[in-house]
Formats: sequence, structure tokens, C-alpha cells
Amino acid sequence: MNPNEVDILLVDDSQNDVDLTLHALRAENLANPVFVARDGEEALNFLFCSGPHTQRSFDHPPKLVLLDLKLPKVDGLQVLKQVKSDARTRAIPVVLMTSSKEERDLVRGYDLGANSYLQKPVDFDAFRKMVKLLGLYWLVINQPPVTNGQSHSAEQSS
Amino acid sequence: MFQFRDYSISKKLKWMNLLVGTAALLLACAAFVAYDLITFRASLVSNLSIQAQIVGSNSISALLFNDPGTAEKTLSALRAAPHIEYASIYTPEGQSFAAYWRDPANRTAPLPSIPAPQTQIHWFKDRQITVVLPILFQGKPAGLVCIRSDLKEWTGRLQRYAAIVAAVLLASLMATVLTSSVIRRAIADPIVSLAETARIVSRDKNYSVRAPLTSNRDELATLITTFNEMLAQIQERDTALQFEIAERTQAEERLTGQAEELSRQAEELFRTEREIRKLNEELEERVVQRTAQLEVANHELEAFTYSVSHDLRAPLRHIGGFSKILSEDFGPGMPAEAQSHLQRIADGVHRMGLLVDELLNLARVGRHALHLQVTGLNAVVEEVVSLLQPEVAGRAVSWKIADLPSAECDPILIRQVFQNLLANALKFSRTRERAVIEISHQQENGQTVIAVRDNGVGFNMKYSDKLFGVFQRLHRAEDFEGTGIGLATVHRIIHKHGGRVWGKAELDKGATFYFTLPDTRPAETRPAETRPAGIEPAEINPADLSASKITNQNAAVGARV
Repeated sequence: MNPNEVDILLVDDSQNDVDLTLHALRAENLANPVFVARDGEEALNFLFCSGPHTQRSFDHPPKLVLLDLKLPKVDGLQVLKQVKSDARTRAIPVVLMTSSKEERDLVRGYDLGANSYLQKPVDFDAFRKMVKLLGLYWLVINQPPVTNGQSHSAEQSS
Repeated sequence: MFQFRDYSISKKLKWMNLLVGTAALLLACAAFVAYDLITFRASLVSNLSIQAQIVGSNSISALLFNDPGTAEKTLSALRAAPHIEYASIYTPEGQSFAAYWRDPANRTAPLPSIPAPQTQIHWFKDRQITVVLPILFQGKPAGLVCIRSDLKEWTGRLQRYAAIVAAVLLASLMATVLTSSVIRRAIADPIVSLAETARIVSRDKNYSVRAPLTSNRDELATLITTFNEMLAQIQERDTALQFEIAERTQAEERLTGQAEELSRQAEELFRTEREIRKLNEELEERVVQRTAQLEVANHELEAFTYSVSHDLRAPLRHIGGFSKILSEDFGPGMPAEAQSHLQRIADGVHRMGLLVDELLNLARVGRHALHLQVTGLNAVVEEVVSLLQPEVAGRAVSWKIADLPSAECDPILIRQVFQNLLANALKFSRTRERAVIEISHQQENGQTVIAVRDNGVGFNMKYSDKLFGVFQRLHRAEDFEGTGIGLATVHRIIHKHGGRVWGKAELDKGATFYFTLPDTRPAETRPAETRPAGIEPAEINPADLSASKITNQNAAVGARV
């Protein structure tokens, strides 16, 4: 998988959740390349092209980041804050997808610039339906700020 | 003299008597004696000069004839006068002519030289009196006569007088002593006894003694009477004073007692206050501790609910997800029993998901801060009714919603209340051909009482105490699904608003749930209350509730049935 051709960055520490999400994506025929980060630090390295991801370019950001809140090392809200406060990554759509429906998480998430906030339903059918709608919307319907390979330069030139 | 001053009055009186008497006597005697002696002396001189004259006259011829013998004879006639010691005749030239001596032993003694006076002279000397007289013959001095006499007669007289005076003085002294005792009885004794009385009064402060009265009617008697009267007055005043002092002492004792009592009470008050303050401090400290504990507990509860929300849901999701995948991907090859088991797993997961969600909801209500605002209840009810439409699908439901007032409440929480109550009403009327759900209200004691009534299966009032407990259910899960948390949540919300909630039902004849909210309308616009205060909520007859304005919502909402 070409690290610059990743459409979805899935950040979740639970292997079960990762498997279920991937299963749902596959079931809905969303075969876009997915990169899975298992903690906040790995997600930040991927997004900021650092650590093991130095070969990545800011010119090829993922089309969607699915971010869990409760993460080892650096938690989800911290990741969100860094992404949204940096001009190079601010435009990347970040969808918070978590078990919690706590109001404070919700408010804080939107404060920090989350593009959407979803609670993972317990019911698998509902979950699958949500993933399907999510993929359809953000990867197909939604118009990203720039097409791949131009976002960073466009950002710089504007 | 100083000692005399210190003498007692009787002694003074005695001495005064003595002195005055003696002095008077002495003066009288002295005057008398002096007069007598002077007179006696004058007569002595006179007698002597007469004798000298006689002697001189008888001696003229002898002188003229110078015959001393005759003269001596004449002189010797003086022997008849025993007092005359000596007599002599001198010539005019002063030569001794003849002499006579009473004591013959003295004949040889020299004759005294005498002056030659022109007239008679005399002098006293050495207890003797001497008289010298010129002898005249036809107016011419013929010689001198000198006669000397002793004074024994005079001194004898003097001695007799002295004896008389002494006797008189003695007698007068005795008389004085006698009279002074009388005087003492009359004057000194009353004064002494008066003084003694005064001394006793002064020493013993005893005003009841009296000075003894005398039988006299003099100034002393007046003095004693007055003194006694004064004593009587003093005694009277003293008695009054003692009485007053006793009263004052008593009053003072009472005051002291009251003061002590007051001070004791003040001390007790002070002690009580100190105890109260100490208790208050302890209480405050305990409140602070409890508040801290509560904050810790709240914090823990939050952490717990967050944990439930996040950590319990995740494995549930995994179980549900993987069993679903198993059923879908491998179900066709599985025996029917295995498929049934998988379905049960899915059902369990679904049910547990509901439980977790509702528990979270209940916990959230507890933590939720009230945001009170005047809320139109009809709008809330209509929103909830439309939310419940999926549940109503395929059923005939009549909604009878009265014209509800506004109430000061938290709209989010009150929506939750209506949602739970209406969902219950729908659920338990599911077996009815046509469900009738009524929402009405009435005013009671300044509160709005909302009633939600259904014509469902109802419940036995015997178990009404279990209605609002968490996980308490009055129906079997096979008949009516549910978690037993919905009414507990309603209860918690209404209590948070300071209201009450209760239920009334009859088995198979429907149930009515009531709750109260503060009436926000101005008092004058409220309708008269339909029942007296103090009636137990359970006694409210649902038929009393104002159903006059109930609008049949069947057309509006039930059209989608």
C-alpha cells in the first residue's frame, strides 16, 4: 500500500473495533485504502509525516480520519487539537467515532474543530449502516478542499 | 492645780467648800484680830503715856529741888504695874536723875541714852515699848520721863486669839465635811450616774439604759430628763435604723442572690454559646468534609458513568458485531440450534445495550444541573408524541391532550419525563384494540398537577411502592419488555424540580401517573382550586381533572396510525 494513497486513517486501539470497522467497510464495498493507527502517537506521526512516516508527503493527506477518543499515549482530543491547529493538516476532515456520548466530549470535540461526532451503536446492523453512510458521504459525496497532491501547495499559495 | 482638775466632781465640791469656808473664816478672823490688836496697842501706848505723865508730874518738885530720892520713891510706885520693866527721869540736859527697874538685878545696867524730844514719843523694840515724855513746868521743860514696858499682855492676847481662830476653823471644817456629803448627794451623785450612763451607752451602744432620776427639781433633774428623752429618741431612731438596716441587708442579700443567679445564668449562657459555637465549628468542618467526600463521590460517579458509557459498550459491541458476522457469514452451514443460540446472543446484547443506555441516562439526570425556564408543556408533549410515532405504527391510538399550562422547569428533563410516561402508556395499552391516552392537568396549592392516563393493563396497587425503584418491574419480560429504569428516571427528574410523582391504577383497567410542577401563572389569574388543601395525592380522582379542554388529537396525530 502506497502510504501516499491512503484514503482513510482509522485510529483505534481496539483490535476488535478495527476488525469490525474494516468488516463493515468491506461489506459496504468501500474498498478504499485504509491505514490503521493503534495509538495517538502513531496517528500524529502518520499525519505529520514524521517518525516512521517521513517518506509521506503533506501533499497527500487522507480523505478522512476516523478518530477514537480513548487512546494510549496521546488521546483522541489531543490528536484532534494538533491536527486542527496546524495549517498543514487543518483541512483534513476528522470524524470522531467513539463509544462515549458524554456531553463534555461532544462539546470539547466540536470546540477543537471536529467535522463530525458519531457514537458507535451497540447494534452491529446499525453500526454497519452508519459506516456505510459515513463512507458514502465523506469519500463520495463530500467535496474535499483540494484534490490529492495539491492541498498543501494550495494552502500555501492562498 | 493640775491634779485638782482631774478630781471627781464630789472631791472638787468638797475641796471648794473647804477652801471657800476656810478663806472666809481666815479673812474674817484676820480682820477682827488685826483691828483688836491695833486698838489694843493704841490703848497700851495711851496707858503707858498716862503713867509717864503721872510719874512726870509727881517728879517735878523733886527735879526742881534736885531731890533724886523723892523721885525714886515716886518711881517705885510703878511696882503696881507688873508689865513696866524700867522707868527713869532725866534732867532737861539729858542726865539721868532717878531710875526704877522691875528686876533689881538690872540696877547696874547702863541707862539707855534717849533723845530729848519736845513732845511725847514712843517706839517698839525687842518685844518692848518705850515711851519718852518731856516734863513741863510752867511751860518750860523740867526734865524727861522714860518708861519701858514688856509686851507680854499683848502676846498673851495674840495667843488666845490664835487658839480661838483655830477652834473656829476646826468647827467650820467639820461643818463643811458634813455639808459637802449633802451637796454630793444632791449634785455630784446624779452627775456621776449620768456620766456612767453615758459611758455605758457609748461603750455598749445600748440605748435602752436610763439615767436614774433624782427627787430634786433642779437643772440637773431637767438635764437627766432631757438626756433620757434624747436616749429614748435615739433608741427609737436606732430601732428604726436597725430595722432599715436589716431590711436593706435582706434586700442586699436578695440582690446578691439575684446577681449570683444572673452571673450563673450568664456563665451558663456563655458556656452554651461556646458549646454551640464549637458544635457549629464541628458541623462546618463536617460539612466541609462531607462536601469534599461528595465531590469525590460525584467525581467517582462521573468516572464510573464515563467508564460504563465507553468501556462497557465496547465489548458489548464486539460480541454483537462478531456474533452477527458469524451468523451472516457462517449461518447457512450451521445447525438450526446454533443459529438460535446466536440469535439469543444478539437479543442479550440488544437488551444489555438498552440497559446501559438507560442507566447512563439515569446517572446523567442526577448530574444534570437544572436550567429552569418557563416552558409550554403542550409543545413538549407534541414533540414527544411525534417522536413516538414509530412505536404507534400499525396501532389505533387516541391522544386526548388538554390545554396544558406553562411551567417553570428544565425542558430537556421534562421532555424525558413525558417521553418515559407516554412510552409506558403506549406500551401497556398495546393489547387494547384502541389505546386511549389522556394528558390533563389541574391546579392544586399553587402547583400544577399533570396526569397521564391510559386504558392499558394497569397494575396491582399492592405493588405501587415498587413503581419508582431502579430495575423494579411489575410485568414479566415476555409480556412487556423494559429495563425498570424509566419510572426511576421520572422520579428523579420530578424530585429534582421539587415536585412529587405518584401512580394510581387498577388491574386491567388502566393506569394514571401524576406529577407536580410549580405553577408559574400570576396568582390572580389562576382558577379557583378544585379541592381543599391537604388531600392525599392518591385520592385524586382522575375524573376530576379538567378534561373540558381535552382536544382529540386522534385526527392530527392518530391519522398516521
